[in-house]
Amino acid sequence: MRRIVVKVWEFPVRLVHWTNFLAILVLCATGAYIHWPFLSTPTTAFPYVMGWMRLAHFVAGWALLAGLLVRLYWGLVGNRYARIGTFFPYLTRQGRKSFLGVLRYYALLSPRLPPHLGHNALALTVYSGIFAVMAFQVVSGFALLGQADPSGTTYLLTGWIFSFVSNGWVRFAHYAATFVMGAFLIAHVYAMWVSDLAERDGTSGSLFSGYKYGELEEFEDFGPRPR
Amino acid sequence: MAHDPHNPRETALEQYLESRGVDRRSFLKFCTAVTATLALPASFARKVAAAVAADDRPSVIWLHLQECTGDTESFLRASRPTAAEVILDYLSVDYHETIMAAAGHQVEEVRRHTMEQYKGKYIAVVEGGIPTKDGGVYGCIGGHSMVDVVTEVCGNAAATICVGTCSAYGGIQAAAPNPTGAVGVGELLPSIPLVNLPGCPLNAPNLTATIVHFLTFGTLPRTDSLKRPLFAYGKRIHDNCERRAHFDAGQFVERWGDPGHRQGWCLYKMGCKGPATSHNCPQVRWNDGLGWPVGQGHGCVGCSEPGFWDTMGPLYERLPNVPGFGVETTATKVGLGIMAATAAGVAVHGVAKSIQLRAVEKKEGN
Ligand code: HEM
Ligand code: SF4
Repeated sequence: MRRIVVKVWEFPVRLVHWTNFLAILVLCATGAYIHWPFLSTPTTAFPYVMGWMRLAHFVAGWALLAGLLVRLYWGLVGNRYARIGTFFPYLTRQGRKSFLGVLRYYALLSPRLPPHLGHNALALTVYSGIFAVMAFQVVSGFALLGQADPSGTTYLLTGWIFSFVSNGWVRFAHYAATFVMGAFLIAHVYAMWVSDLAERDGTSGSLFSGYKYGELEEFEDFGPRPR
Repeated sequence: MAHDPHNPRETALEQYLESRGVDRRSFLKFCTAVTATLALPASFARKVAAAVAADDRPSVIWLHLQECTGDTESFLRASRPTAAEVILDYLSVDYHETIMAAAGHQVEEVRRHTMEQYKGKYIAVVEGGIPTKDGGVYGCIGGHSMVDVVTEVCGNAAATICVGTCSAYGGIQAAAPNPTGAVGVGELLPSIPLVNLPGCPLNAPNLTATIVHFLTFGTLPRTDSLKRPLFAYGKRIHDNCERRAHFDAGQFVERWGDPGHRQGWCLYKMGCKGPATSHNCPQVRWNDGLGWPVGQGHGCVGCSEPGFWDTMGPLYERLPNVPGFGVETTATKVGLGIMAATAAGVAVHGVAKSIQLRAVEKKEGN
């Protein structure tokens, strides 16, 4: 058996992963405050709590938008593990097989994941969903922001939403999606931990270094061909 | 002195105003206020005054449909004869069920006559929703369904002004399950020239200003996608609210009558819908500028937004409840439930998976 080291995640992918992570943490925390401002200032204390919370929310919101755009671009020009197509593994026969394998792994029917170098097929499917949630948050968030200035550009781009749904339901959805992000965060960290336990392939470190490890033979049918 | 068409003193209106005890000064003050409400430059006040005082004011037909007459009340609030009231009095309001003296077939005849004589020239003001279900049987006037009356009257008007949330979007009777199939005029007749002045009731200065705009420029004011004039509905309440500084400062009323409430802090946590509502209430206010709901210490209920009865509730909660989960089920409860279930799920799975892996590794001998 030959142990190999493969560069899987290129720099932009890793950068965006972590800026998105930070942005989402800030967005969830400040969003929670915006939803229910639990710090009520007495007359003399720090006098602009909501103002700063909202500012932080909007700055992180812009960061998330930028992150999504960069990632989208990299999904078009990056290496084979970064391509947009990989997020839809169930579209190919091999992907579907791999998908079933991952389900068997999580259902405790098989101890190990099917061989993979990028993400596993289930993870990719979930990530495409979570990217959709992020995109939804960006659109709904900017729509809410745009309402403050109906003659502005943001409103021009997003104002049409309010012809279909009221502000109340947009806010509701924006708030509800926050819990989806929270549940995802829990499942995501867990999946990383457990796959490390089962695979020892460097998944958890790979989003820092970019490299994954494994035995060459394992990747025969999934092998790291040059793009 | 030669005849000056721009001098309103010489017109019939001026004489009429004088006979009602409204002097020229009050009249010009009124015109200036309307100019400001329309967000026109002050220099337009003269033009406005001339247009209002001109003798060729259009006829008005004011329809009452499914409604409570609150808009008429708001409009005719009889604290004292203001210039605005008298001017609307003076407009030839040929048909208005609440204030006309005549009744029955006689007055329906008047309406028909006005429509024929001023076809395409008169203004239709509509108050109330239109029941459309079952052939419109849920509302009839003089033997005709409201659907037919509106189609005929608004279809032949120069412009239609929908006053109040009911005629704009169906209003309270359009709330789910909308038993009579109530709709606003815009939904029934999508292609006629129309402005919506929603509000429950409408804010009278906005109607005055819309009519004056029509008199001055011959067109309806510019509107947004919901056909509401931008001068009145172009900004959110939240962005012009006198309590906004308390919002930004993080100073919130927590309970009715608490110290924050007594100090006029922000009503966000009490379910204020100001952040969801576009209206100029904070500037124009009500009852001759005396006060408005939020100023009085009660949160905005979003009465001028489409479907407010369904989408702004619960009135004292920040966000709507989760649909399909019964009342009192907030998104927070459901969301925290989902997160807790996820956490519990992965914990159980983690234990099971470690046991499985340990067993496998033992078998593999490492
Ligand atoms: C993962 C992404 C995000 C999360 C988890 C999140 C979370 C939240 C939450 C929980 C609220 C409070 C909702 C309420 O109760 O009314 C909120 C409000 C808001 N968010 Fe986000 N948000 C995200 C992304 C964004 C983005 C990208 C923007 C765009 C700039 C944005 C703009 C806003 C605005 C304008 C509000 C309303 C603030 C106000 O009314 O003062 N959000 N967000
Ligand atoms: S009282 Fe209502 S409208 Fe005014 S600042 Fe607070 S939330 Fe906004």
